[in-house]
Amino acid sequence: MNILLICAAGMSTSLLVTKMQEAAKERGIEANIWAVSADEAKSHFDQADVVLIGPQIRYKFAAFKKEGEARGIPVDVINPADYGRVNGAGVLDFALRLKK
Amino acid sequence: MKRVDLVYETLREWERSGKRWVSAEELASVLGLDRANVSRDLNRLWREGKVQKQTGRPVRFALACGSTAETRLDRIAKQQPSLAAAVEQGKAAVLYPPKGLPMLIVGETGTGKSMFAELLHEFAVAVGRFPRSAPFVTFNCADYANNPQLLLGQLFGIRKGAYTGANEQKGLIEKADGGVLFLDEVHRLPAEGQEMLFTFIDRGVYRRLGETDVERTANVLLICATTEDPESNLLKTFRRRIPMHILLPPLEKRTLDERCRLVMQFFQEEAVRLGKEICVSANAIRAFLFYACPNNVGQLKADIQLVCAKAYADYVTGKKQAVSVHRADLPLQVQTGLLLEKKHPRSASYSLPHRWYAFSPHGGEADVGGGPVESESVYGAIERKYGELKERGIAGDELDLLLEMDIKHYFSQYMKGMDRRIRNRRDLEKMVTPDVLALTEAMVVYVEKKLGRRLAKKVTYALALHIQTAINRLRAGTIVSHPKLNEVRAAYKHEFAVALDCLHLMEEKMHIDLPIDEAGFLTMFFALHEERTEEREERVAVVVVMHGNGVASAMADVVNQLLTAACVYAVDMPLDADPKHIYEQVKAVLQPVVSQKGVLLLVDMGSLVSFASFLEKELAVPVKVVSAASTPHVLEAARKAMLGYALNDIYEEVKAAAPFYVREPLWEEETADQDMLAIVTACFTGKGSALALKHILETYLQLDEHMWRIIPIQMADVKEARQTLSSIAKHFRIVCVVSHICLDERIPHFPLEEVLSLRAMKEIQALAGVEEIHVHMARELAGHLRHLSPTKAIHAIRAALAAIGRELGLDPDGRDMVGLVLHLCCLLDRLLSGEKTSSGQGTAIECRHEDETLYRVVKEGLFPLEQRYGVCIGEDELCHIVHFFRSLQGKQDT
Repeated sequence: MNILLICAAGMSTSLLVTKMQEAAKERGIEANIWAVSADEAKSHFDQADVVLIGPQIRYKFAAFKKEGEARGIPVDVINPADYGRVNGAGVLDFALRLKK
Repeated sequence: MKRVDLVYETLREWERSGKRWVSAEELASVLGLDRANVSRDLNRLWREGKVQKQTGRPVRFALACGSTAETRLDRIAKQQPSLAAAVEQGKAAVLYPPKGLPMLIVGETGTGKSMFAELLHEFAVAVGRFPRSAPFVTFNCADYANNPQLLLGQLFGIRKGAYTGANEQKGLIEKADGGVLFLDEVHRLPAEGQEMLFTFIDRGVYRRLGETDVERTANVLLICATTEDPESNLLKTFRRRIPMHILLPPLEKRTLDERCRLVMQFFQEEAVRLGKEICVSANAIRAFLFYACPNNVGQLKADIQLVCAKAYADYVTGKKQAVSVHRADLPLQVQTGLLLEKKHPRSASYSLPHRWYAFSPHGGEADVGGGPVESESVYGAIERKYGELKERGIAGDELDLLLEMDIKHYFSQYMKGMDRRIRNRRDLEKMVTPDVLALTEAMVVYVEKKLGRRLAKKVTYALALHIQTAINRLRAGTIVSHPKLNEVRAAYKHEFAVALDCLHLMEEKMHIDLPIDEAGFLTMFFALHEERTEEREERVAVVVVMHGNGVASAMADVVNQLLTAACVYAVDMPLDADPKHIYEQVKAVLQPVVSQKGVLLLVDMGSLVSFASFLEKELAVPVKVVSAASTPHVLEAARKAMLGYALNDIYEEVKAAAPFYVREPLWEEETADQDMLAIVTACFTGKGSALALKHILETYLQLDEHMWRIIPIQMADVKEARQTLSSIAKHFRIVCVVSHICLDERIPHFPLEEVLSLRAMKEIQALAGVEEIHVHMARELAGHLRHLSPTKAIHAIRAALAAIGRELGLDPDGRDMVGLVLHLCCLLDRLLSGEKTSSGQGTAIECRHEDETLYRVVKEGLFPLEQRYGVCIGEDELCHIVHFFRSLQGKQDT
């Protein structure tokens, strides 16, 4: 399963990526999780099964949603509480739920 | 020939033929006149001082013998013809029946007003108006001008219990009964006192302070003196009661002859005082004749004394063989007399026949004494005051208090005078010998090192002069005790210890034994510095920073013009300016003018508020900021600052005038890592209900108990409660307060009833949730960030974002910000490690043009973070944040 995280410059998300990877490993889930900045996001859509957006670039959500719909990929904004807590497991669950 | 003259002439003839002491009877029979008439004439002559009389029956008269017949007053009139009119007026007032007239002596500083009053007293005694023992009581109204109560008490006396702790005390009027009361600087007498005084003039009665039942009487000849124009400085009713106005002309209105006589006389007096012959060159005397001497005879005398003291010091140290004064020995200011001489209309006709003038310590009768304006050293002034107060029967604590007020006053006056007289070291060299100067400078270095602070330049100057006089006096064998040595020692322990060291230094360098009292005086110089830095000249610096070209400058100009002083500084902030540059400008403007009294920053928009805390740290002085300031605020601030108000007072006043002053966020206070969260509950009614509230909150809120404390406090006293709150804030991040009234506008507040009815629970829960998220964030980031302390960084970022929100009129939900906070933490950390952060697509310009205001607010809002961490947030990063806030704006609009 390929999970793409998008944030302003791909910085804060890297920490979240690590946490999510740890959570996936614990549960024995095969997951490819990576983070990119908003500017370079488009070119990564094709490799993704689900796209998650950092709450600080919520303002770009509409644009990314369109991209996702065009490819049939679910796109959503990460819950600020989970994002703020860097709750890897929580965000992973969120991604899994979206994919279903 | 008038009858009275006939009587006088006859007396003189008889005296020549050896017949003295005749009765009116004898005279009357020889002259064939009525005895009663002759007796009247004799008594008149006696009153005029031309005749003396013997007690006993019959009363016998004789010519007043030689010099005593001529009172000093008469002599003054002869030597100083410009004073002749004044002398006549004075005599007339003293002799005016039945009790003499009250007088007002008007004259500039140093024209000899108190000396004149003393001579009038002497005259009154000489003519028998008063008995020999008649008191002459002097009181300077300026001495107590700061304390009208004390002043009136001094003057009229105090009844026991008139005010708390008041003891029965005689007034000066009572002490002057049967003599003269001289009120110097009477214009400093408060109106109330003037009124009390004219009741006394009218009816000869007065009351002690606090007395209502008794009226006291006293027979006092009142002589007042003032340097001011009586028309504008005294009550009309008071002026009317003193019909005799005696004008003492200033030095410049006197003739050269008169001035020359004064100069000669003063040198003569110094020769007597020193017990050494003083040689003065003609040029030096000419300089004294012509130099500008604004403080009149008093200054002339003081300057001559100073010159003689210096000449004496040169003689003692072996630099000169005799006590001699040349032109070059004179202070620069006196030397200018030789230049002014050329311009003086009468200088050509005024020549001094000799090249040298020697003043012998024995020759001539120097008219010593009565000089009111001695150039007083610290000693003289204190000693004199001490004696005066003691004489008046003031003792114990009150004496100490008065003396302390006085010494302090004297010292600050000394300093003030110093400032006018001495502007640089060169001036000082003219007055102080090189060895004293060297010693002083060595002492200052030592003192500054020991006390760990700088002494004002002025203190150094004053100290040098003081040491010079001290040494001169001690060498002359005069020892002066410091009346408050023990108090000074106790009050300024540290300074006193240093002063003792300085004493040793002085003793070593000057080969002189010094009494320990001298350490007391030195201590006051060292200690004075501290008070002065707080009290005098230092003011709160007022700076205006405004957006737009020239807005701040214009505002400052208006205020400076209105106050006719350059007291407001301005920094303009063009719209496209980088806040960092502006900040540096503000700092540069302030650096040279800032004092410990601090800085008041007046800004137009809240985004500049953050300057305050950085300035505070960098300049190490307190800084307050008021936003949304307009011209009236600036004016008010500047006015108060000029008056020497403290920063906090000005701040409170101006803040009250500026409705939208921006509060400083509590979180910005850099305290210990506030990792624990708290809700504070406060009740008027004691801890009981605060505890009950705590239970309700614990029951209805879902809180992570490892992070939270609910702290009940008592709010009996609001001020106390605020203090408690701020001490809690040192260890906890106070998320909200539940109380009757809002204790701190910076902390969310929920009214009691909202909580009791559970209506507020949802909101509190949301607030709590956001806080918990941030605590978790900090914990997660702890292992991730390399350069930042997560808790502090999160607080700073949240404060900055909240400020931007406020400036934009948004009230963003804390949850909306969470992502951005995390983002900025990572961004700052990367910037600190020097990594490149931006992918850089050049959209920056675009986003700036889309919304200039938003861009500027965000840029300024991030300034505190940039400044704090010393980084620069790139344009692209800025744009993300601009977009974020724009989306929030959009969200709120819809």
